[in-house]
Amino acid sequence: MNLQRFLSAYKYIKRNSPAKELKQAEEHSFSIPVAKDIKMTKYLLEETFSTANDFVIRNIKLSTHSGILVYLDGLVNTMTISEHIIKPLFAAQDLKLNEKQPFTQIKESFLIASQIQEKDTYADAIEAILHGNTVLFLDKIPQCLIIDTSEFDYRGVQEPATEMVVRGPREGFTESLLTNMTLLRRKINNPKLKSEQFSIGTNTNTKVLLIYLENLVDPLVLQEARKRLRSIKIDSVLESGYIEELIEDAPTSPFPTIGNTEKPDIAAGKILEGKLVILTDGTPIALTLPYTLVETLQVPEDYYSRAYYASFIRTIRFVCLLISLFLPGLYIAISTFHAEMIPTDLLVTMVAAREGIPWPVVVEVFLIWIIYEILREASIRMPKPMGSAVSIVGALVLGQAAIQAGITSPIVVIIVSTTAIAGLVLPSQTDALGLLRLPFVFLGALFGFYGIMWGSLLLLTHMTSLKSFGTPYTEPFAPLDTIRLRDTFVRFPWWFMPNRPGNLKISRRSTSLNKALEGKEDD
Amino acid sequence: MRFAILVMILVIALTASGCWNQVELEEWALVSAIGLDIIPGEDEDLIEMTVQLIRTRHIGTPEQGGSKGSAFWTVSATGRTTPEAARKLEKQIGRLLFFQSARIIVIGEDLARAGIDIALDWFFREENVRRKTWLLVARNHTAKETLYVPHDLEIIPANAIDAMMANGQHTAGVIDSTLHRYFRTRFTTTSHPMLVGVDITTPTSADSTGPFITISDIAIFKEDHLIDWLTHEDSRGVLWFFDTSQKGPLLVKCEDKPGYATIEVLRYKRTIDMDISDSGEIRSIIYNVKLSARLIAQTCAIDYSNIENLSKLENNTKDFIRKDIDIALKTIQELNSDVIFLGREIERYYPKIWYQELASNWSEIFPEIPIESRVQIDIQRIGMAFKPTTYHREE
Repeated sequence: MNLQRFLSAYKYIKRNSPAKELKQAEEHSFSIPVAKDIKMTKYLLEETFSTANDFVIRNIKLSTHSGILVYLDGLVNTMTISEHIIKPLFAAQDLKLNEKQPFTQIKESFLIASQIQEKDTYADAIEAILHGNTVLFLDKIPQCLIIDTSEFDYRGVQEPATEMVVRGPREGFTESLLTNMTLLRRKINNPKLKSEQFSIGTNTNTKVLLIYLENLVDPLVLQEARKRLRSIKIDSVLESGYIEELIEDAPTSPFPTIGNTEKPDIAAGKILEGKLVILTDGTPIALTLPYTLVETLQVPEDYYSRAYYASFIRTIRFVCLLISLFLPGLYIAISTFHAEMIPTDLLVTMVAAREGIPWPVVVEVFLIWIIYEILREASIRMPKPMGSAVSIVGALVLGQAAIQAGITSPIVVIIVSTTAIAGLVLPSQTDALGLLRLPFVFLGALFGFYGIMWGSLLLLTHMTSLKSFGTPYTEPFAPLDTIRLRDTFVRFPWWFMPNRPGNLKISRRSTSLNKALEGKEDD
Repeated sequence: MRFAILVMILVIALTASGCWNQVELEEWALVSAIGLDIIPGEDEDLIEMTVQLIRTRHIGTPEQGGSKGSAFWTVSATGRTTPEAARKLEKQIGRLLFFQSARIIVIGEDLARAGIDIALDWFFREENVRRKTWLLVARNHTAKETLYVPHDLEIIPANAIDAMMANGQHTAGVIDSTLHRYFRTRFTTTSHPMLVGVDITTPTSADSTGPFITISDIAIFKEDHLIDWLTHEDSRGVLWFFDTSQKGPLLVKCEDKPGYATIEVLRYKRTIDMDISDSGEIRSIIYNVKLSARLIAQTCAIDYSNIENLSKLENNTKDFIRKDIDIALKTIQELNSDVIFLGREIERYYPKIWYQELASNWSEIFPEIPIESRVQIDIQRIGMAFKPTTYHREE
């Protein structure tokens, strides 16, 4: 192959052709083997990283070969490079190089770095550079040496703000993939803990890890997860949400079919239940799958504190789920269609509160609800110092002024705020609940209990039709699994759940089948 | 395609069914009490409906201007039927009447004597009134007059009567006088209703503010007509025929010394022994009353910690109860109104004989039936004071 001609063609195309052809040309140029001529290599790399000001090429000389060290400043630890690469290479400058396998010699005798790989295409070299490695090219040798020198600044391991616990580990995932993997490994000290690496995003080349316990995971789920991760076609992955949306089972459903967590102990717990965890580089949010409805009610603290109180709180959480979904709709239905259901004393109070309110109860509920949503959004987005101002205004607007001005009744404020607070108890379903509340308000306002009944019927039908990586969403209620019911509305004590993880269908499958499945997948 | 069909079914089911009966809360006028009277007309009698409405604005929180002015408003309208009167009332007040909040339905004595079924049929048919509403008869007054009487403690007078009735069930031996019970009784051909009467009492002492409503005698009905009033003394025995109602305190005369022992019933069981021949001749009906009780007060100086004295007291109580029952039975049989559900009891045990021989001419048979009562009593506790404090003084 005449590299000189190719390079001039490449340069020409890059200047003149549209993006698509350029992409093809780039892919082509990257997959070609490393050139023997160091000047070619240098030229190609300089072209590739032409405007990257953190791109560094360090010329060195080794025996009779001239060579270059290439890395991106900022992604690497320069101390490591100077101490463990350049210094030993300088020391070995006058030694005679084994001409047959120079890199083997360099790797085994000269360099002090811990991870070194030999590669022979530019594509590998460029990817390695982008991930913070240092790459060594030598003249007259069509190979390169990839030396791991990566080190970047990251936020340390902190307590996550989203998932607070009273009892239990405080650490949370960070933005560093390696740190996150380490956090998981420290929880599960087991060689069977496997992690498969994927590189997703044509522009970002984000590292994504699929983590599971080999002996617990359902091979079919694993196979499916691999398949879906591999078939992702997207330009960039900045957060695990991208991946979640691209591999989830029911993209049109309001219910999430993939869970997420920021805490290593939760992730480890899921892995130990035979689930898979997906870690994405650059975000502390890990994905867990398969994800079922009952996981909404489960909180790590349930497992750390004693079973009896944990069970009570679980039940409360379930009640919150119902309140958050139905309360506004039910209130409207009862007060406009079924007033006779209200105990007389309460009814008198309610009617008294409604006197002089200028609009129907639906509008009233909507009004307060929208005000609440605005306040909520504002309090999340605004800079922290303004927080107290908003909360004062919010409390006054919601709590006092609206009632005194007679535009809303205190009962509606109670209803809406109870609903909102109940929804916050279940963070993983907040989106779904917030969306589904709306149809129930409409159904309640238009058709009373009859409409709410229809709505719930539809909702239940929809939920039972959902699947997450082959697992029915409403498991273990439908299909019923009496043993797994022990960890749903109540959590039975550990000594009552000897067969944990009970949700694993794999335990019922023979080992030979597993082997067969694994073998099939390797093909 | 399947989805489209599903959506269509849903849309049709939701829209075609039409729950268009949506009413906002403030469009209701909450009724706390319903009064029904009869107004004799020239061609036909009219029904006058009186409602006691809750003025919710005067009940709300103080910021909303609560507790100013009267909390209730009484209005009346007449019509040939109850619903007609109700619709006229709605026209008059501009809101829909919400009967489910009614605690009491008061029947004027005149209407009660004329027959109340025609007036109550509407409530019986429609689900507009709660069946647990108290059905009361206004003694010596019209229902209208009764509903105008305020109460000094409760801002809604109907609530006061409701509380009197509810508490009376537990403590003062008031019979169960709900609309539900009335309807149930009317569904049998041979039993007759019994309702509680209310009276307007004018206070005699000067410091009281005004007249107030009291629970008075018991109204005995024959079918739907009021036939007579039983005084408290006469009606007390009636309570023993029902399993549920509490009996209130029994004042039993002490045997040798002046004063009373007050007995309270703890547990109570009533069974009936019947001896009925196949030809339908009722040889005897025996009411067995078995109760355990406790002594809660005494005014005579007798030491009831002594077991002999106590068994004498038991005997006295037994006689006292039997006498009560006998008086009540005699009165009821004289009035020929089976308010004690004896017919139902016979029907339950001898359905064949009942339908063949007895049911058709029960009103001739009932006054003649030999009914006896047997009482078994066990006074279990006498409280913490073994001997009365007056005991040593007397000695």
